[in-house]
Amino acid sequence: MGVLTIPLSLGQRIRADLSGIELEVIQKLGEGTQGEVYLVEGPRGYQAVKWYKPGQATPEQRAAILYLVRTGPPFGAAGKRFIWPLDLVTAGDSRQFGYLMDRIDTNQYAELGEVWAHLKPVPNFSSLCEISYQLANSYRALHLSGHCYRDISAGNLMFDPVTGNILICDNDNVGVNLQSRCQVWGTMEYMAPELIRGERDPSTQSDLHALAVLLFYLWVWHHPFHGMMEYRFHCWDIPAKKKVYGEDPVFIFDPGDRSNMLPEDPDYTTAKERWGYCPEDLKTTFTRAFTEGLADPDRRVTEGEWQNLFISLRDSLIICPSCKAENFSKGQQSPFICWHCGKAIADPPVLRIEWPGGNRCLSLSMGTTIMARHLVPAGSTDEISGIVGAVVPHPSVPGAGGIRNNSSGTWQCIFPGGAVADVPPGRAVPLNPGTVILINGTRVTIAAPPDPGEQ
Amino acid sequence: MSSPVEFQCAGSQGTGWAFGCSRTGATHRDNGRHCEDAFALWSGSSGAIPYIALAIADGHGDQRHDQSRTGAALAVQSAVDELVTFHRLHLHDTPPHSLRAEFRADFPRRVSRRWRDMVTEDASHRGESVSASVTAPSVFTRYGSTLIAASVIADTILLGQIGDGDVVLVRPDGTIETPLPGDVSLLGTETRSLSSRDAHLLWRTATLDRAGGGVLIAATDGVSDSFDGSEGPEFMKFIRSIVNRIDQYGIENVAGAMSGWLDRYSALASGDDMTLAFICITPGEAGGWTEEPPRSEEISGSSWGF
Repeated sequence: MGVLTIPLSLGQRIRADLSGIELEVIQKLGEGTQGEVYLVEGPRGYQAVKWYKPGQATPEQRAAILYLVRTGPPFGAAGKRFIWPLDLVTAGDSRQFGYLMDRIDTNQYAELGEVWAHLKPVPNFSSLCEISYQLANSYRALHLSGHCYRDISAGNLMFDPVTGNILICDNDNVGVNLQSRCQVWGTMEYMAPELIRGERDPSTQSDLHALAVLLFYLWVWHHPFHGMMEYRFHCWDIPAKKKVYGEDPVFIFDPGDRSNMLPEDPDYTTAKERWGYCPEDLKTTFTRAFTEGLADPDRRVTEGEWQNLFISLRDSLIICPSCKAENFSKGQQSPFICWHCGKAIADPPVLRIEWPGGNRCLSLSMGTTIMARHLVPAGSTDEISGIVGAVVPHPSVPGAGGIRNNSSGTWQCIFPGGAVADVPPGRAVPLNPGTVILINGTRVTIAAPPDPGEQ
Repeated sequence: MSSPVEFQCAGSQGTGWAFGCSRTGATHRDNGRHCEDAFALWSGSSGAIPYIALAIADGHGDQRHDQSRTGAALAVQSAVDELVTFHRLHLHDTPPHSLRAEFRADFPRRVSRRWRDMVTEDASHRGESVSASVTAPSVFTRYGSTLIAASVIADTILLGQIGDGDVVLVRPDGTIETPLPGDVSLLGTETRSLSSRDAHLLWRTATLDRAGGGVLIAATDGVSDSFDGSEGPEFMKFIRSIVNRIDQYGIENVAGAMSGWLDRYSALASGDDMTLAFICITPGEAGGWTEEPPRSEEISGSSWGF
């Protein structure tokens, strides 16, 4: 017979081995597939401890935790999103162990399932772009550090539905790419086909597949392979799952193979609607991830591609003047129709931001904010935050607007006629195409909307 | 008017014992209406690994949901069918740490679909034309019901819920766990339903360690509404008192008295139909996972009631 699980008891004192500090168990927070999570109090205040079940508390897992503690999370803002193991935790003579980590504010952060169940707010497009960007950015940083995650799924992601900030949990399965073994290979619905077929071990390439599935879940609220094939399986057993996810995976929106399209059933209405809301660039990228990327792991969509896509999508968001719904202007023919109210939206002006390496366009509509990260080249934006400016209505001219200086410095403005003026904090520049603004040395231009083909 | 069925389900000593009771609400009795709640209990084994499954449902019961009594019965049947199927399909081939994730990923979708299939079949037998297309949701609305499903297997307790009602686990040391978060977004008597759009997304699921066992109690909202609501101290006191009585007087005596208790609460308070089911879970051992189970599959000692 096996070993009985011995949970931690409230008030019990446990020890963080490397730092030597003592922690008191305050309460049980939850249970996962590998162990239980407890709130603990120590010299650093309240933190959390994941305590492994006996079957999971193996010498290999212990060594993996110690490695992760010593290595630390990836650098920069991306690394701060990982709830990383901070110390190995033991309790007296028990053979079980756990690890110390920061605790998560579950009032602020949501799981995707909580959003589906209407327990937490549904993120708007802007937040969804931010969540998706941060996900891609975080896994890019992890992969660049030489590690793979091996268990990417919605169950390991928490996000702030309002701001789009994310946290990545359960990092104890992170390992060195193509080298270290792990106890968890993820759930089958996120596993790359070559893993399910037993041809390869988990790697950064299989992480890319799982990342694409997770992003699809975030945007479409559906699995990319749950179409007619899954619908027809009365017995959803392991062989059926292997067929749908591994042996014969077909994307439900594959334009070249309609064999696994969505059935005519109420279960699929939301997936169809949400796919319809996705901008064309996103649809194209998902299609590539779940067609070319299935057969050839080398052709999967990379984290960098996802990252750049969600930056550009976020920058193309405008607010419908009629119903205030968010719309993606990127790739739209002019004028385009609001997805929500059906009224035509005139092309908005854009803010063209110029760098030596290229330009970037930010669509300007009422409420658009210019962030500090917009003013530096993509890829170097992680540590930069804060609002520099915002599009606001003119105080007395209906329908007119301008960019208000929300920064602490004065902008220099060159109007189309050549006149030059200072724009101190609190003042606004009218949205006239051709106007050039110098913001902290970065040159930005208010321009007429670009031709969709040029974006 | 047929009276609600009480059923006591005998589990195995390795897993625990389950009991359920459904009573017509006082208001319903006064108005000559049937009980629109349902429950189902199942105990069996697969490959010599025993398990218990429990389901309770609360049909919505107004004119728009005129078939909700049947809808509730089909809900508990679909839940137990799906739980039993899940056990048989996953127990031997799925690693323990993946079983819980597979449950959370698959159960809501599969059970919601199974319920709709059953409703479609029932409506067809009644001579109603049912289309599975998105343009025919009204048939499902007529059968609208909530559903709570739970099962105990090996070292794990699996829980799922759509709509209102309560699931509480009282551990042997008296600790009360409410693993499924309440839905604070709804007002008054509003509830999520199997007939709701996107029902498969509206489920709340949880998985718990069986560990030292305890008493798992599931009840329709008529019970907690007779006290001070799902998280109220009076309701929690009632939950503790049930466990204390089980400890003091035994399951059989508590089971025998339950119908009288529920009738009294309904008459004095909510007036609603009431269903309460519980599983006395014996302390778990990890043996089911650590030892290779027999490959031959058998279902034995199984029993039904709703």
